[in-house]
Amino acid sequence: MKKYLLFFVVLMCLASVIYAGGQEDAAAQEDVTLTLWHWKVAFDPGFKAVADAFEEKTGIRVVTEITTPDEAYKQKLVAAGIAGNLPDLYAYWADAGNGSFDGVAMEWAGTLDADPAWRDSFFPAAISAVTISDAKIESWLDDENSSKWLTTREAGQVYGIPIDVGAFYTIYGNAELMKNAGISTDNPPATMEVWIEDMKKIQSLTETPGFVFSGQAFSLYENWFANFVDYMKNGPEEYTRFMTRESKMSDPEHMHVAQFLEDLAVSGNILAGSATLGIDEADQAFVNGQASYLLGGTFTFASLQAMGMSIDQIVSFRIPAYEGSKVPDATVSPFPLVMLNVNTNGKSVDKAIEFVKFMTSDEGMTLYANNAFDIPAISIKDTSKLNSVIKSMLSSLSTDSNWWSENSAISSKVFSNAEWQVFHEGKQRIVLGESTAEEVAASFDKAAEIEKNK
Amino acid sequence: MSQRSKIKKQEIVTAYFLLTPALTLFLVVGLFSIVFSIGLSFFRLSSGSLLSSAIFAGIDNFRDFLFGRDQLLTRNFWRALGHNIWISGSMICFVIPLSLSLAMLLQRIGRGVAIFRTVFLIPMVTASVSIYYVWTGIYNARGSLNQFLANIPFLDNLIQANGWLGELNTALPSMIVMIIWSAIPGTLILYFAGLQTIDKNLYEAADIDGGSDFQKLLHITWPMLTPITVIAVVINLNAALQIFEQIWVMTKGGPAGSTMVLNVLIYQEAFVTGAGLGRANAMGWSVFLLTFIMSLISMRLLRDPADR
Repeated sequence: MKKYLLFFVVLMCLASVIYAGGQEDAAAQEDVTLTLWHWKVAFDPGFKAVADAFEEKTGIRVVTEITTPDEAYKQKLVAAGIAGNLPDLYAYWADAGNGSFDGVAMEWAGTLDADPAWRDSFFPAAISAVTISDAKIESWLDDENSSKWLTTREAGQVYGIPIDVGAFYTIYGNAELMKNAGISTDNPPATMEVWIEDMKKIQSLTETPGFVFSGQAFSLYENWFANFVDYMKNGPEEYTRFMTRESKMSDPEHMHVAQFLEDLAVSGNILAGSATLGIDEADQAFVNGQASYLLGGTFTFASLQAMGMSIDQIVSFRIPAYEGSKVPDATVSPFPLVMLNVNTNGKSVDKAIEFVKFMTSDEGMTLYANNAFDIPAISIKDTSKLNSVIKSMLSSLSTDSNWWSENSAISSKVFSNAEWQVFHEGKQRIVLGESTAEEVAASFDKAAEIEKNK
Repeated sequence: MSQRSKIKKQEIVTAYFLLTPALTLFLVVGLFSIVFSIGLSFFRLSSGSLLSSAIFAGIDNFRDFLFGRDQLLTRNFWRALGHNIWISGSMICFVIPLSLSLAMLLQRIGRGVAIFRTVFLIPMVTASVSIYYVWTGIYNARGSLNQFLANIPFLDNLIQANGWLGELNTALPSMIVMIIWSAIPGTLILYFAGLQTIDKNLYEAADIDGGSDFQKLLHITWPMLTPITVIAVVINLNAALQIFEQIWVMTKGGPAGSTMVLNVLIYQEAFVTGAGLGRANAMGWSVFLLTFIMSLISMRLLRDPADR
């Protein structure tokens, strides 16, 4: 009897498993559910708002999955890419060819050309930054770790669609400290020299150090500050020579990259502990009034507000240029920060494309921007539905493409060239008073020379 | 075939049958990963590429960080290895004697032993990441350690303006203190369990012979606990050479590389700079080899003289 009972139980289990499997297949045929991976907790409400509207229109569900922090997300994507297990859609750090996983990501150039209205709706700088350029191909050819697939790309190809724009090179000032020191909060400092004097003035009156930034984050000072200042000071040609190892950091034209930090450190104008602060910690220190100025980007504003600062407590301005700079009025074109990639091996590629097109439509971008507090990548025609903060940020940005936005491959040498890794440590040593600007510049030049002769 | 050997054969078949799930899991997940990772260490593969794009590189990945083919990486690798060795040495020099002393103390305490045991085990039972944040707070420029020193006359000159983890000279020693603190409970449990197994008659005999406490420790406790010490040394050595999360959460290897250890360097190579998964794997296997050799040496050095 027991044997029969056992047999019956096993049979029932098998039947239910087979039935459930069949149900799933049938369900899969009826509904399409796309999976979207990203790493931005703050942006998830934006993605979800777009997904809800998309489902209402098409019946296609888009489920978002967040993995944070950045490194963990990258790790997950790398593993999924190698295992052939990427989701239908995944967000990636916007840059030409980035996160394309050797062609797993869809190539969009043809789709963009086929729909000129959609293509032209993007800010020129947003789309040019994700378009593969000759300079980008050259940098892949120079890197022995680049895959054959990457080195055989063609200029003009696009592997991800930008969903937002932003800009670095923004200084946030503590309005109260500035007012107390008699510094105007209406007009930004005319030059770098004036700004440094302002910092020293505040410090002498209030003992509050002038500057805080995340010294721990790799390439933050280099990519959010130093490269742009160097571009303004020396113009595109000399700047390119510096980034491509033709000029040295110890040259008078480029010494400012290290000297700026030394001047502030020696005068006590860098917040103690900055060398080990992460980005959020640096923002928090500024919010707490521990430093009068913070290095950030357009996206920092939302963080400062979330941390409790109100608009009238903050002054923001573009990093000032040194006196006698060649491009002192360089405009900061916003560039894409996050792009969306479609997995060509996904179950429903056409549906995923449909979602990306919806997301980057007027309706989708408005929903995204309002819910993610992020600046959209397209020029929205009807801005009346945008919330006031996004609207004011949008109006402060120049949306035209220029030399700086079109040559991101040159600026991104701060990530790929090994001498900048040497500088990252050197920068921390300067801040701690363990090395001089001269010593750090010399070690940078030495590393650049070695890499150049490889 | 006799009935007995038939039953024995059936038992063997059953044993293998029961082992099959675990064995399959090991072969599919464990062994495959090991072979895959060893294989990958001989290929060039950037972290945004597919496996099909891997290019055979021979031993170039190893030459990159061991023999200066990539000078910066080589410098970073040897520096990180130096830090790992510092941590290993400190753990063995401090964790073993401190744990043994505390275990002996616990054994002697009559009343309140449960309270002390709980206190000593707190680092082990608390979520590790939250512990690291608490220690980061203690070491912070405005943290409790600096605040404490500020209130003690003559000690205020020890205050670290950039925080204890923010200065080149204090970052690694501060990390080591935290690592020792969190490693003690595990070793303490081993020693505490080991002490219970020592025959009390041995101590009574020593008492009759007029042996001092130190003599009892030297001639009874320490030799009887040698197998435990071997395990403790191997575990601590392994932990020190494989250390990652404490450093990653608290300093990310900084400032200026002063707390950089091998596993953080490997992680950066694979997922932060994205330079190469092949090279990261090659570095990972070098760390494994080093750990294995160091463990073998420790086991040999601490082997029971009777077994030599």
